[in-house]
Amino acid sequence: MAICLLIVRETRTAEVAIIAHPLVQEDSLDKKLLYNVYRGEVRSWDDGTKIKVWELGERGETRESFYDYIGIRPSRMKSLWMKQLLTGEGEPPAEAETQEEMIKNVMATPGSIGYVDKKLVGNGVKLLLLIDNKESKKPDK
Amino acid sequence: MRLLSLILVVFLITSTAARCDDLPIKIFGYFQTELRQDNDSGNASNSFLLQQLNLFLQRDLAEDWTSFVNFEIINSYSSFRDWGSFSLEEAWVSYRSSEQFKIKVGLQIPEFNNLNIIKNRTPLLPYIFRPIIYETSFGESINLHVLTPNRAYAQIYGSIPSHGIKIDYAGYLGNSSNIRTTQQVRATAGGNALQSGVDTTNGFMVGSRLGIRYKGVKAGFSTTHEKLNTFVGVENFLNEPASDNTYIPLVRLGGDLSFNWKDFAVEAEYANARFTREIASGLKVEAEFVYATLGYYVNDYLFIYGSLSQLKIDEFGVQVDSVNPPADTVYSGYAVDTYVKLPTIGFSYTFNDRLTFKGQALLADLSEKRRLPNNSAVYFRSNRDIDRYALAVSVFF
Repeated sequence: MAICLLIVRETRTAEVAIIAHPLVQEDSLDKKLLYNVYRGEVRSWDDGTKIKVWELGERGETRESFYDYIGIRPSRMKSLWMKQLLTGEGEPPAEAETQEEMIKNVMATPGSIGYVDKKLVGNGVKLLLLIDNKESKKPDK
Repeated sequence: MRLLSLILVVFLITSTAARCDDLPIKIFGYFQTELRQDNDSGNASNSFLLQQLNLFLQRDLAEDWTSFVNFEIINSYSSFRDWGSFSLEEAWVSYRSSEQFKIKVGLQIPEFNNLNIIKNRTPLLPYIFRPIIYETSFGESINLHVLTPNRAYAQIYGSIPSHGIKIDYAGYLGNSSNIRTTQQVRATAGGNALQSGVDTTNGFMVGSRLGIRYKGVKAGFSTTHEKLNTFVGVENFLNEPASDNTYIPLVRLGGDLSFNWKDFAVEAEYANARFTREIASGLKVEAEFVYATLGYYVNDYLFIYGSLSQLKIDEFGVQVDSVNPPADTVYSGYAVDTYVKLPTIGFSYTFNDRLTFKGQALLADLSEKRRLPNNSAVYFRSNRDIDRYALAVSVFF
């Protein structure tokens, strides 16, 4: 029975770019801050601008690599967002259905942050962090 | 202190009212409905039940200001049929200065242990039947409000990061558990009854929680203190001389620990509620609760678990000895020790963000012993075994 329950996880291969609205003043951010932003515990940039977090709706390597990097399973993060919502402590991030939509929304909304495949990043957004797939690690939830 | 609270509420309302017209009101909620089979000491029964429905209204009043209302419906509520209950569980306004400092004013569920604040959020929990002191649908038969603080009216709380650890804190004020009911108001002679829903003592319930979070580990210590006048006149039932039972301090202590390790999840809690002095000679009132759950994430959708909770309550009961019409009823008081042991196993399957299926099997062992308060000899003893199997669906809307 125990053998049946073992799940083997693969190291993700997508290179993920953490992008922000071009007027966001920060030029970079670290893993801890990224986690806290998505967790809803940091809600403003250093200059006081409210952070607008975007979540990717479509499943795939980009999403998996992102969550591998910040060290939490997507399902666990969703339950933390649900807890915030149901206790009145905050709202889940807005969802972009596709990576193209994510880029469009981040470009259009001041204070935004999101993540997409590195290959899709163009000039209209600010690149804050590039997740090297060698850094990907198994989530510890 | 009441004046201070009033001033704060007026300030909150006046400072935000002018700016909130363009912010939308959000309406959402969830319900959990179940099919269960009970086997109570050999007597089997089956039933459907709408175990719980919660409806939330939430509106941001201004940046960092939020209002929140929570209505709760229990056990297929119908006032016409006298089923279940309908209650206003929360109605508060909060200000978030930062993650380090937040303040909440109004009717609210205070921080106590890990589960208290989310005990009724069924989409967050894998259980159909929660650890017993958090199982609201048992509230008709167990005094759940004694073991955990269910209501507070003002709370400061937050989370302070320090050396990679997050220190959670909360401090709150609320009413004592003895709240005047409408029935008591109506029964008050002379037409000088006060309103229902208010504290019948002259002091506040004061409580706090201090906790830490480090990676996947969360632990905390909680405590509350209040004074109750529940036992006024208890000596009448015990054939004892009058004593001073006006206010007896009730102290609650709690500890909680939860962590994730690989695909395993562990959570455990301890709670103790104790009146700090005897309510009559040889009669102590105390309750003790412990539970532990070990769970395993089979994948992103399926979670399986096993859990054990135990509850021990030493309290005071009253029985009717004889009735001599028209108005002469003779009562007597007794000490009753209740012990409940609840091993359970179950699963939850997250179909999508809004739909979760659950299954649970519970084998309850309940025993009760009665004795006279000043005599250790047990004169009544009962044991019940209740097996319960249930399937449920939890819907977030």
